Amino acid sequence: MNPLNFRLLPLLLVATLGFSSAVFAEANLDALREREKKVQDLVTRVMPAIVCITNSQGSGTGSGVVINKEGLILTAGHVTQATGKDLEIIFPDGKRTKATALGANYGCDTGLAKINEPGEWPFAEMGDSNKLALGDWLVAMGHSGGFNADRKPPVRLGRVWKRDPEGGIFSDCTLIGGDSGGPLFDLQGKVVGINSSINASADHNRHIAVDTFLGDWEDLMASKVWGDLRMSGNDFKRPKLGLTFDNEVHEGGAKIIGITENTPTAKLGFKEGDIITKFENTPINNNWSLMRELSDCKIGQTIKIEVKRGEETVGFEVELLSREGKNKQQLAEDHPREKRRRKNADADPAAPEPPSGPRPYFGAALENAADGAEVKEITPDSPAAKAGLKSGDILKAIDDKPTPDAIGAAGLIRPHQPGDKISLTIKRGSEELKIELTLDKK
Amino acid sequence: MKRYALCFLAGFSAVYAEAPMPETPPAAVPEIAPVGVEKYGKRASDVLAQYAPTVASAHLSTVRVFNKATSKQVAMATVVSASGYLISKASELENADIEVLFAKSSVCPAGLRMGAKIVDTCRAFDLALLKVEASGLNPAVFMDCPPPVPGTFLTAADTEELPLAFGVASVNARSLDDSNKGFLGVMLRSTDDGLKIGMVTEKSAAADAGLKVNDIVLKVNGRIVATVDEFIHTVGSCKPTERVQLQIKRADELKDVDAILRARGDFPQAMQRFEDPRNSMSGALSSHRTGFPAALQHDLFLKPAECGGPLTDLDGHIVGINIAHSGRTESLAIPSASLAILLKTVESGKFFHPEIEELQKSKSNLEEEMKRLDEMEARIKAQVDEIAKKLQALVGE
Repeated sequence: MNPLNFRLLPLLLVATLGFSSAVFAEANLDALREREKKVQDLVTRVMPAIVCITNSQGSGTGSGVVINKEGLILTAGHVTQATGKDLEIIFPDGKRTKATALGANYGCDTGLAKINEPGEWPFAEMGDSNKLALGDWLVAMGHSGGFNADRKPPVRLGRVWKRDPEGGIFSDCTLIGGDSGGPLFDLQGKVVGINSSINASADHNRHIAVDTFLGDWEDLMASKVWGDLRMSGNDFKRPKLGLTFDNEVHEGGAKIIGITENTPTAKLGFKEGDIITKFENTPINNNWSLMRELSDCKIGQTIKIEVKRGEETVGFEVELLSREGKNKQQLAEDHPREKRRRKNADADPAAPEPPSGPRPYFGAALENAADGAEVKEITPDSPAAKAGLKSGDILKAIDDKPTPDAIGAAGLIRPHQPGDKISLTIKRGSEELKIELTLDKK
Repeated sequence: MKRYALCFLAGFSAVYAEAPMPETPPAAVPEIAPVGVEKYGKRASDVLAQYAPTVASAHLSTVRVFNKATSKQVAMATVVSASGYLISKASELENADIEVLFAKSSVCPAGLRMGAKIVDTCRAFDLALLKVEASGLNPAVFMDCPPPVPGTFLTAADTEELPLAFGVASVNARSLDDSNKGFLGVMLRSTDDGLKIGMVTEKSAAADAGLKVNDIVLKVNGRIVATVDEFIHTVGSCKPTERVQLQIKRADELKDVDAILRARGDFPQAMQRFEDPRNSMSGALSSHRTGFPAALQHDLFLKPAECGGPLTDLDGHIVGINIAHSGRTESLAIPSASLAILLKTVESGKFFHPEIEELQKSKSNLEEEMKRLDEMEARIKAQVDEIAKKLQALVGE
């Protein structure tokens, strides 16, 4: 590289820099400055109302937000489930007080609590989550990782990118342990949601809309606790169609924007752009109403669906699928016991079904390794632990019958009764050992 | 594994409880692409473009750093002197041969690539000073101004006009320096019996003192500790090398144990085990991500190899250099005020180490003190001589 040439670069860089329209850029910046001012102002205003919720043992911590001067707190159902009824509340400035958990709906993950001591508590106002539109800007806060005297609850910015029929608001305001129960604000500084859950995508942060609280308000105030703590929006048991939709209303239906490959649904003849208008006999208005119908159904159920394709109306019969996009038959085939049976059957067509009755208990997880079955986690106090097996041991044979893989090893253990002694040949490092193990019952 | 596909967010006091730590990395959960986030999320391309003017100037000082052998980007860097000095994230450079790529331009549309040498490092801030054989570069300007308040909009510059990411300042700038915080070296869990030791860190004060897994910690320095938080606070507020008295219960027997604390900063790996494992489930974290003497926490989602570049406010001022992606919700930047000090001596190819000045100052202070004492000694000696003379005169009579 010749340094002389390089010296010219910066000047040219500056000269050639610039945007298609400087005026447009300035207008954008003004909009950003206005939004920034709103965020900075709301953060100062609501900060004192964001509380850390824990108990006297400090076991499990979450967040909450005070919503009136009497000290009523909105939080997530799973926070008060973890802490129990008697709560310790810590304000961002370190002030501590006691509170009592009121009601919770675990199904929606909503929960209420109330500060015991009378007083004028700092609070943030509740807003209207029904008014939130996709793309609206939000601020999430909470005592991430528990109360930290070195800093106030961190501020996170994001947008609504999805809603679900169970009251979920999905945003890209990132959350982490300890944020649960903390508030989600609109840019007016009103509480529109409560932090609930995350998954592996950084974009996937689910908050419960405050309107979900209002629907159950009297029961929550009356300290009723009900529902199952499951992640409604991502319920593993909730069936899928194998189709994806956008969130807009299309001529009174849900528009298919994708068909999941390699699923039974993909063979039925749906086309991208088809608009679902009927689910069984219920008219469908948009993606949400379709999801609501789906949440009442079961995997394996067959559903009549009507779609509009241009001027035509086309009917389909769809078997509802699992989260992984499998139908009932495929799920049955995937069941470990079924796989074992098939494997045994391959080896010996006359092999009977594995015997039922008391099953022998071994107490260690096995995984396929290059030269046998590798011992993974060992349950404390189990037969495997008592026999002195170690994680990382390679199981070569059981009762001198070789165990080429994990399934093979399990197949040799299963026919035994609890109380039977088996002899294991294992490789530990470069050594080969023989160990005797007494099977137990689970 | 399924239980990690979606996690409720109640915090871990279990941060210290070893039980809920996943055996398998949660990132292995099959991901279902979010629908709608490309259109409505904050990273939608039309939104990102709005932030371009904020890095119009800073992006010219932005550099990408590559491992020459693997051609993989390992970090970003920032030009700090026209005469060819850059700063980057030291721990990501892997002691390898590195190559840097400057911002694109019409002269060099593919960007200019050249080798770079590491000439100095500052361990406290995890910064490396790089030198390239070039001059007339566009240095970043670090102003000694107050760091941004929470809620301030921030943008991370790239070598292109479009920024890397944008977000907000999450917390006021603070020190994360833990070289002066006491560290015992136990992982505790709150149980019905009390605070139970779940793990003892090797070579720690706890290991030296003979603390064992399943011991119950009852008292620290004579005071009952009821919660994990209380314990961390009590021990953390003691200084390294300080002696703490612990009362523990081992198999129903009470024991008093003395331990001499070491510094939290000396056990970064042990401290990382206390982190919520969900922090890394959405993307890798920087391996060096704490201990900085000054850090601005913000919510920009960066990859470890995207640290080392400038962070600007809406006015385009550089407010800091991104130094770590430290959690699912957080990244850290070194505030400009700290950088301004560190770079005082950059033209000599060295970071300014404030401790040098401090040591020099205390040395000259002490020297002055010695001089003063010498003078005083001389004066006192003179007085003593004078008195002795008078005394002799009297006694002599």
